[in-house]
Amino acid sequence: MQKLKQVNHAALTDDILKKLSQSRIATILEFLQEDTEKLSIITKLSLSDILTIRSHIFDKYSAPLINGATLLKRIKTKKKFLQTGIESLDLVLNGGIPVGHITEFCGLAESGKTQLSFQIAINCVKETGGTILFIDTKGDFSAIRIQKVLEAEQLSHKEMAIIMHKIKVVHIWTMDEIIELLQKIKNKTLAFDNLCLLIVDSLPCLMLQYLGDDNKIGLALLNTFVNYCRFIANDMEIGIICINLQTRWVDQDISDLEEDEKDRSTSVIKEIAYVEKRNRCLGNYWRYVPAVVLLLEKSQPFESDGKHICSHITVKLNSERENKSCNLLLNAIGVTSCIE
Amino acid sequence: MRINLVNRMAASSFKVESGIQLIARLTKKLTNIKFYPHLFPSGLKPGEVIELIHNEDMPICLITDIICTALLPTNLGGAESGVLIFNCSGNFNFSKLVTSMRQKIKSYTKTLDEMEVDDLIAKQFNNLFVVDIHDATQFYTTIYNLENVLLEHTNITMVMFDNIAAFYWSEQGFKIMKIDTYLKKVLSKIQNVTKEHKVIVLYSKPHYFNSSKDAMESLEACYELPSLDGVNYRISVSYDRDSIYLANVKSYNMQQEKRFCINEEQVTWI
Repeated sequence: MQKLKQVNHAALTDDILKKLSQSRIATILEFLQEDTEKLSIITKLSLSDILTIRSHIFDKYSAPLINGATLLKRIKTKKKFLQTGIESLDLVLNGGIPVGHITEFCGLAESGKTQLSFQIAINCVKETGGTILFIDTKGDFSAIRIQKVLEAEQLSHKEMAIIMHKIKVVHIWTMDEIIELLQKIKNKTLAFDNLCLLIVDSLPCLMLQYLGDDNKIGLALLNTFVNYCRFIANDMEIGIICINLQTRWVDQDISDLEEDEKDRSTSVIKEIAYVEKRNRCLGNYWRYVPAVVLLLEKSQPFESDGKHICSHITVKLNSERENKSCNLLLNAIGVTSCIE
Repeated sequence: MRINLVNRMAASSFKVESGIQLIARLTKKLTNIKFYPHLFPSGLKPGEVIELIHNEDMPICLITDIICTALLPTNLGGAESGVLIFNCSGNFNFSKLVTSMRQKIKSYTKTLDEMEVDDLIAKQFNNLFVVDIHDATQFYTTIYNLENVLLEHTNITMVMFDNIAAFYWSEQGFKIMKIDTYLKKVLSKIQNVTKEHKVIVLYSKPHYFNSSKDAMESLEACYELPSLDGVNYRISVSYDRDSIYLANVKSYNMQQEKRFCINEEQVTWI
């Protein structure tokens, strides 16, 4: 919660702020929820001055009211999707990566999340000519992998250079750093020419250090990160892809165990069933954040054309019960729609 | 002598009211709103609070359908009321609201052409207001500014928060406030501002956003009348099976299960 001294109003002098602080009114919220007459008594300011400060706070901090007419205009003119350049994936996504929202790519380790995000970054630059901001939190961003994809598309060196120049990479190691970066983008102190997509690869890398933290500082930082992402996505009309990790483990099926208990009385020995369970990382709070979740699952590798080892990746939309999915072909030279 | 008289008058038969209370009283809302009978069979009273609990895969279509019905004219099955949306989660899809409204209008009136439908949508959208909220400070300042907004737009009958838990974690420092306590505090702030204006408050919250792990059964009972930091309707939505969703609706005197499915992004009640 923002402090009252950040309000920057002429009537809120150091002396007044001190008096308010002594009455345990230090934040904007504490000021707003206090009775105006009481504030007038504490500060010895007139009621009219107190109301002017309140009004100043509303002007500066409250969200602007958007009426229906403006909203309709926005709906008609606003860019809704960012095409991925992979036809079958765009079909699953009803048009592409949603602009103004957070999209999650989730899958087990080595399921093709990074390679898919590289391919989408390249395709977006080719399609829109805009800039892609790639936030690398693993320290394994490889320009060579991107170059291989571009070479396979038989682009000239100049074309390759232009595309690679448009993909900006930032290495980030902590949640504080990523929040600072987003804050700079929000405040326009850091600007990118025609930014159209922001990719975070990957979020759990930053969050795992807070695992098991009783104070839930990690969640506070994650919430702040999400707030900034949402503002930037909406304000700058960009898409945001956050890569998340899926974990799996083998568990005993509880219902079978209960059955076992019953069976013991009838002296029938039953095998305990083991089931594979999967989970999206980042916990309950995160589960409600992305507008779209794509689950990636990689098949066993195979040799497709005698030259390249390929895998199929099944991309499944997790946000609806429709069970929309598509198969993509993944190899070192990129990700393409899979011809059945 | 005169002071004594005023004091006696104030203490006995006179009720002092503020300017806001006076204006709110003069622009008094309808006593009972017949609205969305699938969930609220006896209608909604001004000032009531509705809690909508949902899983992460609850179709946004349900909230869209509720808003759409609130906006539509009464002859098209709506409530023709003004709605203010606090877009806190950022996941509310306004394009889908337009699509949903178009389909509803078309299902009621077969005679209107596309232009007329567009005009009707634009007219009904005049009763819609949205605030995009991006952080906790903005959330609270906008709540306190609601007083001014409701005074200016007296047609607003419903204020909707999607979702109320969006900034909970960003507000927690080393000491964590219990989820239920937080929810009550936020709700009482909202009600303190909206109570004079008798607007219906609808908020969504995630299923996990609950201090107790026993979910619905452990939650506080619903109130009969609007009251500070208490809810009048609690609706829990979950996936049932075979593309059918289950809405468990509770009020002070009833509990019922309603099922719905989604056909082409439209809610169909079963």
